[in-house]
Amino acid sequence: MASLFKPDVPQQDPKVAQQQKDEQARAEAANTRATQDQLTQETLLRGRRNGIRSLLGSFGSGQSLLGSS
Amino acid sequence: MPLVQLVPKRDPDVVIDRLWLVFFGEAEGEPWWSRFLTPGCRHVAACAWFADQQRWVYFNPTRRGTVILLYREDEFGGRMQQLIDTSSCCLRVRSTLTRGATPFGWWCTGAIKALLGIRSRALSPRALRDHLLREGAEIVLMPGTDRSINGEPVQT
Repeated sequence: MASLFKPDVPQQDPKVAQQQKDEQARAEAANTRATQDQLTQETLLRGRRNGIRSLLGSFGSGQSLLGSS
Repeated sequence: MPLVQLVPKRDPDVVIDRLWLVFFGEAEGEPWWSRFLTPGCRHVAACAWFADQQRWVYFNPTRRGTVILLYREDEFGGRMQQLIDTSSCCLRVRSTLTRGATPFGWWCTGAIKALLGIRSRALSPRALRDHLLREGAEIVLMPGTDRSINGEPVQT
């Protein structure tokens, strides 16, 4: 590798510029996917904590919160 | 009229998988140990586009110290050109963060393994390159392949 802190080549080849744009687009898509995955995971966890399961009887007591005994 | 992005904001403290461009090339200068390594595969560095922050991050673990530089999109051209020009191989790799412990080796190979979070026994850049290829890394640039730098098939 050449210079650590300052690139030797100030000008960029149009092909490499296009390559850079393509890589950015790929990274944006990957970021959106990862964000979706993370939000889905968080929603699932929240659902598990506060959702239907607790209504059907949990909180450790075995008692349903819907009223039936 | 301003555009409204309807994508919910994620928690910035949670680490997500990223696409890294991993560049293999010659070591800076000509250190004595470089003769033991495969020509063209004596050093490894990486860069990635951080979409949330709109910055390119350049990560270069060198003998003098680890260099981490941030670039705006319009500033990164020279660095990208340099990396493409001086590298023998460039791979596109998704970081996974699946390691159970810090990797052995304080040189560039170990640093890149830690950066990508991959499990690998590679101790040299060449072994790391082979490992990444076996694990399905995409080739962005590699001489001798049938793909050009832009990923298009080479016309023969």
